[in-house]
Amino acid sequence: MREKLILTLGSLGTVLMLWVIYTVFLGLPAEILQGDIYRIIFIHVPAAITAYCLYGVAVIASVGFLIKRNFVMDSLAVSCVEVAQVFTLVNLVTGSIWGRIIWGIWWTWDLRLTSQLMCFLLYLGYLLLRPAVSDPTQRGVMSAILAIFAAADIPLVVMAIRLKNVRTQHPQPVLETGGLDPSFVAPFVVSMVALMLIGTALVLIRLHQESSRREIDSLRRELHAV
Amino acid sequence: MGSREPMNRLRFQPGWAIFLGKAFASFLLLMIVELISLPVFGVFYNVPWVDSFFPLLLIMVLATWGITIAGSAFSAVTVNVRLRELMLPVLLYPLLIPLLTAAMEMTTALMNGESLGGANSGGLRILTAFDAIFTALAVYLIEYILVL
Amino acid sequence: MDVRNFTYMVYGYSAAWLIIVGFVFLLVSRSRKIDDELKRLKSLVEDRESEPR
Repeated sequence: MREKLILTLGSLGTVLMLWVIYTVFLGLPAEILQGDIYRIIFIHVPAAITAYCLYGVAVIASVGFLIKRNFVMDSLAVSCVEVAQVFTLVNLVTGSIWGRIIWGIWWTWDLRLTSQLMCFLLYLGYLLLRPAVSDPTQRGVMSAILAIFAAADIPLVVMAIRLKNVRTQHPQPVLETGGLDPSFVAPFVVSMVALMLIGTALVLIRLHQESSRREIDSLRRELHAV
Repeated sequence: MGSREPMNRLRFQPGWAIFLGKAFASFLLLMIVELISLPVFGVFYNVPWVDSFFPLLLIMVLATWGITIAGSAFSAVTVNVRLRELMLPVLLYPLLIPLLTAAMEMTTALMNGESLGGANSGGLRILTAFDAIFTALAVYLIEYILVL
Repeated sequence: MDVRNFTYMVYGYSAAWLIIVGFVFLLVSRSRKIDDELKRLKSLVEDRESEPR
């Protein structure tokens, strides 16, 4: 049942993504100012939104683990953080490539890119901490606390970067104009849905791996106890 | 017999009180170091710190408290972890970036002769917000760490 | 300019796809290792249980 669910989610997401790519490449005209590169927004922004949703779920699962000490919550937290890291990396790389074309530089310390990088680094620490703790309960508690601290830091990061840009008056590269052209909305929304489906499928796979790992741990304990 | 009294009294204190005590001790230590290095840096780097000493002191106090509370919380988290000397900075530095950025921006403003009001008050808000949020989080969550 | 734009856009999409596919490969290889380990441990437990006391 579970495998069927993963397969359905994954294939549905992939099919939707293929539709998006087809529409984006062939169905939409080239924009005057930016040329073809603007099409990358259809992966860049939905990846960021999916990543934020997954981080949110991870933080909620972490709080749930601290309250209930249910290891499924801990597994959910780590699975969501891992998949969110992948999508954040996609966002950073596509954003960097886009920036190279539009602004001529591979990187700039503007609000969006920097806050995404900080998100990535904070939760990378989370993923680095987990293998370093041997006891499962301790590992769950420490990672949960780290996840909560990291999530609390993100709004402060946004405020700090805004302060820095205002004070030194860096030119703020504006990535999005006000509204979105109606013909863009459909591929954008479908792309978001597709990436969320793919993300959910990956989280479910990772969850299954975590439960297998717990089974391995309990079998090992049983063997050593004999 | 009499020498056991302080230890017994310490054992029955709530966890967060011990934690705050440790954080405050580190805070005092850091403040002493900073107050000593401020004149030294002022001399060697030719920084005009005397004119804006009190706003600078305010920034120093707020930022140092932020560093101490986050550092103490993370040191409690990494106390039993492999490679703990490496884990603590790896985990702590990304977290401190907004605090350090805000403090640096405001110090730059002060050194340029501007005041802390107006356009620069955003930095003070960030420092206060950081201190408030992380003190609250650390004190609340420390029970979960110390129970283990 | 247009050709360069298009090339970089292809780079961008390929990079995104490569990252996700790379992660899927990582998950699959981890799954295989975990399943092997699980099988090994289960057979060890069964051997121990079927041993004559």
